Order: sequence, then structure tokens, then C-alpha cells
Amino acid sequence: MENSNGKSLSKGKFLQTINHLLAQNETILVLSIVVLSLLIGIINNAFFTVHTLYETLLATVVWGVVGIGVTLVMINGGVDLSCMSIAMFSAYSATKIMLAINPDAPIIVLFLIAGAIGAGLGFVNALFISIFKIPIFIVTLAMGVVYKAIMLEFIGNIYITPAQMPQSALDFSRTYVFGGLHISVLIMFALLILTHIIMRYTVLGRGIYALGGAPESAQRIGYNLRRLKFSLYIYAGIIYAIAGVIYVSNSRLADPYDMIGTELTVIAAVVLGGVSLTGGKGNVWGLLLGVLLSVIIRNNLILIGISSDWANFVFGAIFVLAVGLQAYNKSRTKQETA
Amino acid sequence: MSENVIELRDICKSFYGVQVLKNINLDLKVGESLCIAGENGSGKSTMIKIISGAYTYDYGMLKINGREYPSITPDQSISEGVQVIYQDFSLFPNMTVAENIGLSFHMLENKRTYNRKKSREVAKASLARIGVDLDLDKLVEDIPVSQKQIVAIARAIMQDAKVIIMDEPTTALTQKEINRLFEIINKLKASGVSIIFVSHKLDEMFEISDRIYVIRNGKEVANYPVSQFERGKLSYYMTGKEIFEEPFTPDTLSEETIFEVKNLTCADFFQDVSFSINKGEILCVTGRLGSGRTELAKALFGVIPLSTGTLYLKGNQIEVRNVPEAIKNNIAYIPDDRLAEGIFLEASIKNNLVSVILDQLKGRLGLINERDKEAPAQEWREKLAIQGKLEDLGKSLSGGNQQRVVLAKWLASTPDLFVLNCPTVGVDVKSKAEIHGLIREMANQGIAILLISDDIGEILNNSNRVLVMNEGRISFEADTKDLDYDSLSAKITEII
Repeated sequence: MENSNGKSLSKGKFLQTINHLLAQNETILVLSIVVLSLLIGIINNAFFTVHTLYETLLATVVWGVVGIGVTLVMINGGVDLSCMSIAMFSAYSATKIMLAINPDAPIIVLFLIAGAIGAGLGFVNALFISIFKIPIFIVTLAMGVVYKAIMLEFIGNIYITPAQMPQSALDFSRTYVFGGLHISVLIMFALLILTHIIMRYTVLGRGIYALGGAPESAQRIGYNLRRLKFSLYIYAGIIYAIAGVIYVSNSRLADPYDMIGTELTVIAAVVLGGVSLTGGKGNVWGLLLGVLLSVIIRNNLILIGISSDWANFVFGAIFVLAVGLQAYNKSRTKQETA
Repeated sequence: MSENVIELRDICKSFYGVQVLKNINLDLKVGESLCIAGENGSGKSTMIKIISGAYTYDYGMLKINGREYPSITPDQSISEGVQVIYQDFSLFPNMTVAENIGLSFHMLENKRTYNRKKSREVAKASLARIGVDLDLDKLVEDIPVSQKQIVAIARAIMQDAKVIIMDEPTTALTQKEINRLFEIINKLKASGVSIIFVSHKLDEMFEISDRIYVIRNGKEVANYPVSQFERGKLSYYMTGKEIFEEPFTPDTLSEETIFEVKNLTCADFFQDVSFSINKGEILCVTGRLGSGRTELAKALFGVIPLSTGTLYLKGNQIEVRNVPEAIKNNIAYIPDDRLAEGIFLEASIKNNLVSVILDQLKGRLGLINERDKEAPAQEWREKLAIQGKLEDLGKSLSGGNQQRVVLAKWLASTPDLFVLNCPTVGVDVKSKAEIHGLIREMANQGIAILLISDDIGEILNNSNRVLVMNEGRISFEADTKDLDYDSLSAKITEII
């Protein structure tokens, strides 16, 4: 430790910063997004409009919000396969409950009911993960199926048509700010910022990282692991529920067969965002970039005449490249210090 | 000041009816360093866990800082200033140095919000107190073991620590790093911190401890200041048996050269290394971490490729470009990381023992009959007195027995050259002596032995010739009988 970084500091600093930036996953994502956007924009000038920007952001909302929960669970060290089931279960049940009790209640009531249900389902996940010590992957794989079955069997299996949807949900889907930006984009950014603050500036949030890095060590410095896990999974459950409500409101349709089955799309975006599959690393901004990139690939490549099959190919290629680069960078830093 | 920070009186502890501690008495003075020595299962970790509050004791009295605790929780123990540094350091690999130290601070202060700046300040102050300067923004997973230990120490002393308990603190360190650790410990002692070591590295215990406390089968068998402690008797106290390690002298040293290398170079790691091993010899290669000793061992076994150089085994030139070629040329290798590279933890002892000779057990169709494994496995289990049944899993064995399994599986393949990379790391005194016995026996049977080690006591007793590596080159060579502890230590740490 007493060697190097003495004399060549100022001279090498610039190069060092560049190197450091290039090693950052976020840089790679931003570069990919910029290059891709330029490509699309050059071929199709219609791309460079505020409208397209707003549309693209709106398209990221559901994945972006669900991704927040998935990111937190992945920082804890596992893959959450129940995210979409919780989202749909909460949103569909909440819509039915609200229609049964008071169809004219404001949208916040829908969010609150769904949030409570999501919290409950998150609690059940935490129960199995924390008390019975079953791996996260297994618990969420099983519970995802169980939640869906319960919903279809006991709550309903018929979709709620636009005509039946609560008025407040329909109004929500037509609420725009700043000349055309959908309100749910603001909700997404609010949740991203809130989560960022919790993860970065609270002892609880640092505890989630600690838990993902070395659970036993976290316990030794005084964390209550059980409480950490319950907070995490309940928070994730609420987040999924919010995403679910946004989804059914914006599509003006609550179809219990929808959403579930698309978990891997979000998980891929989260991994693309640099969240480590083994836990302990990643943040919500990487996730946002990951979702943005996948949305641009899947939705906007069509603008320049690339079919959706080829768009999937491009997504897969960029995915492997980005994750491969992460792994390469990691092994390089390992070697430097070894 | 001669008041006691910790007092144990007649402490007893049983697990499931088995008494593991019997009437333990202990006083730890302010600024004193005490070493608790004992074999695996002697009760030394139980003692530590009673002080740290991880276990409750059945009978007796525990006093910390003059306050009596009929029972103590880990939190109470920590708030009395008792800090344990576990062998794995309990750090967070995914966090920075600053945060590893700072997060504990926030937890101790019962904070809810996390302040990065405060973390850095605390980390800086704590590192300054032990006189070390580390890059606070490096991830802990990217720094070497010796620095991880420093981070763990800095974290332990951050809050007014009065007693620091260190579990096997020198296991993963090289001589130079150990020296620096000792400097840090002396600084801490001078500032009134008491230290308890749990260790079985004998030489180091004498160097750094004020007092040595030996425990065997849950009972105190010796408790003397170092000045009054007879060095030679320590292993007797620990094992209850007289273990004498006669310095190794080859039985049948002949002029016949078994293994010879000329001008070996491996890109960044070592340059122009030449040596030979005669029949019956144990040649030791030592040096600091990063001197190239580990890489030399790995290159001889084909793990890392050689750039240039020639190898001769029994007079014939051989090529070792990869591990299969090394095995084909009858070269065996014991890795330093036994758990990760040496033993199959989830496989039975039987399958471990035959893992190198599977080719010989193949039937006509290239299939292996399970029954054919029995005889060779049984033979080697008996030859090396491995404890446990053939069906037991590798992970169920003690460190010493695991190492014997690793030795046995290679011996089964009748090697001509055996490269041993730190073969007794993490092995208790008794098993260590037995493994040394095995190594000597192998040498006497005519297997060329290349022992890589940084344990000076081990080198002096178990080799007849020593090569010291420094910055990738051989900097010194001598017959072991012409060396003593201090002269060899000086050669290893010398800067060129």
C-alpha cells in the first residue's frame, strides 16, 4: 500500500479516469443507448422528438418499477420469479375489491389496496425465505405459481373490460404532465429516487448490501437478518403491486392472465443493469438504463424496419456482450491486485 | 496498572452432557497479550465464545472490566469493549474499505441514516491509530488477505476496544506481513488494549505473547509468562505426548539426480530458476508472498505455463504444458488451498483416494467397477492412518485428516516428484508432526520432494537444502544444517 500512486498521479489521472469510466457498467449502457438512438434517429428522423422520448419513457415504466423490487431481491442474492404474479395478483384483486366496495373511489385507494395485498404476499415470501431458509429462487418459483393459482381459483379468471374499469383508473391512464409526459413516469422516478435514498443513505439499505455480501458478517456487526429480509420482501411486494396497478390502469384492462410469464424480461434488464446475480452489488440507476436499453431495442428498432425477431436477436447479443464485459472487467481487476 | 480486564473463575461448560470446559481460570491484564494454545477440539474456541457472549456458561464466574456477568450477550460483550476478529475476518467483500469500518460504527451508534463522510472519517482515524494507510475506496474483495486483516483490526479498535481476540491471525500471512502485524499489535498494547490470540503456530506465539495459556481436553495444563515457558515443552502440553522433531537428514542421499530444472522463466512471476533434487532429498523453496514461490510450484505442475526452460526427470527431458502432462510424467502436487483445490469435500474418502488412479481402475469398456475401488482405497487409508470410514465425506474430516487424504491420493499414483505447496497450513500440531513424518518417509523412499513453505520452523526441521526466492529469482541457497531461525528469516525478508 505504500507503493505506486506517488509521482505519475496528475499525468495518469486523466487516462485512469477514462479507464475507470470504461470499466463501469453504466458507461457501457449509456454508450449503447446513445449509439443505438443515433442509428435509429439517422435512419428515421421521426425518432428525435420529445414525443418519442415520452413514449419510450412510458414504455419503461412497468418494467422499471417491477425492476426496482427485482433489483433489491437480487442485491440480497436471489432471483425473484414471483414478481409478476404479485403485481398481477395485487392489481387484479384490488380492482375487484374497489369495484365491489366503491367504484368511484380515487386512484390512490386502488394503489393502497394493491399495496397492502402486495405487502402481504411479500411477507409470505419472506416467511419461507427467512424462517424456513429455502433458497430465494425456489421460494419465488413456487410462490409465483401458487399466487397465480389462488387468484384464478378464488378471486377471478375473467378480465375486467375497459367499460367496467373504475373511472379513476381510466382518468389516471389519461393524465399527462409537461405537455405529454405520462404521470406514471413521474411515479417511476419517485420510486427510483426513494429506493436510491433508502439503499444509499440509510443503515437499513446498507444492510441489504451487507446481507448480499456476507450474511454472517452482517449478523456479527449487529444486523437482525430476519428483520432485514422481511423489510426487503414486503417493500418489494408493495413495489410490484404499484407496478401492477399502473399496468392495468394504463391498459384500461385487468386481465388475470396478463403479465405473468414475462418475469425473465425484467430479470434480464436488471442483470443488464449491472446488478450482480450473486448479490451485494448494483443499484437502481443501472436498472433504469438496462430497462431503457431493452425498451429501445424491442420497441424502436421496428422504426427502422428491423423485425421483432431480429430485435430479440440484437437484445440477446447486447445482453451477452454487456454481461461478458462485466465479467471480463472483474477478472481484470482481480488479476491486477493479485 | 495491573488490574484485570477479563477474569474467568471456575468456568464450566457442557454440550449434550459432554463437558468441554472444566474449571477454567484466567486473568487478562490491561495491555497484556495472551496466547491461548491448544489442539483442535481442546476447548479454546469455546473459551473465546464464552467471553464474546456467543455461548452461556454453566457454572463459574465471568468478570469484564470489573463487572460481573452471570450471563452475557454478544451485545453486552461488545459494549464492554471485547472484539473478536474471526479467521474469516467477517468483512463485506462487496463494500469499500471505508464502508466496512464505517458501517460497524453506524450500527454501534444505533444510527438509522448512513453518512458516507462519517464512515470515511472513522475509517481514516482508525487506520491512523494503527499507523497504516490504505486506499479507502477499494473494494475489500480486491485487496490482499493481509490488508483485509488490517481492515478487520481497524474495525475492531474503532470503538474504544479494550480486548481484541484474534483467531489464528497469522495463518494466511507471509513472514513480512506477520512482522507488520506484530508492530500493529505492539502499538495497540502500548495504548492499553489487551490481546488474546488463538493459535497453534508455535514460533510466532513466543515472539508476540506475554503469556501462554495451554488448554487440553477442556482443562488448563499450563499458564506461564513467555520468559518462564520452555519452548520445547509447548507441544507436549498441547498434545500430552512428547513430540520431537529431529531435523531432517536424508537417509539414503545418493548422487543420483531425480529432478532437475534449468533456466525456468515464467513471464511475470519468476526468471532463470535452476535447481536439482537428488534421490532422498527434501528441497525447500521459500520466500515472501509474491516472490514467485507459489507460481514456481504451480508451473511445475502445469497449472501456469512456462515461458522458457527445460525440465529433466530421471535424466529424461520432459514437457509440462498442462496438468494432464504433469500427471503423466509422475508429478504430484499438493495445493496450498486444500479446501478449494485439494480435496473433494462432497465426495467420500474412498472416491477421494482413488481419484488420481481412476485410469488404472478402468475395465475393458472404460467403465469402473465400484468394487475395484475398495482395495486401493482401503490400502491407502490404512497406510496413512486416515480416520473415518471409507464412505465418510471429505468435509467431515479434520484439517489433518483431509491433508492425509490429499497426500494419499497422490501417493497411490507412485509419483517421482512431489511438489508440496504449504502442506501444513491450518493443521494442528499433532497432525503437522505426522504429515512431516510422511514427507520424510516419502523422501527416504526415493521420491524427490519439493517443499514450498513460509513456516521457518517447518523448513529448518524438514528439508536438507533451502532455496530462497526474491522478486522471482533465487537469491540464496544453503544446506539447512548451516542455517538457524534468525539467519533464514533475515534472508527471506531481505530487500534486494
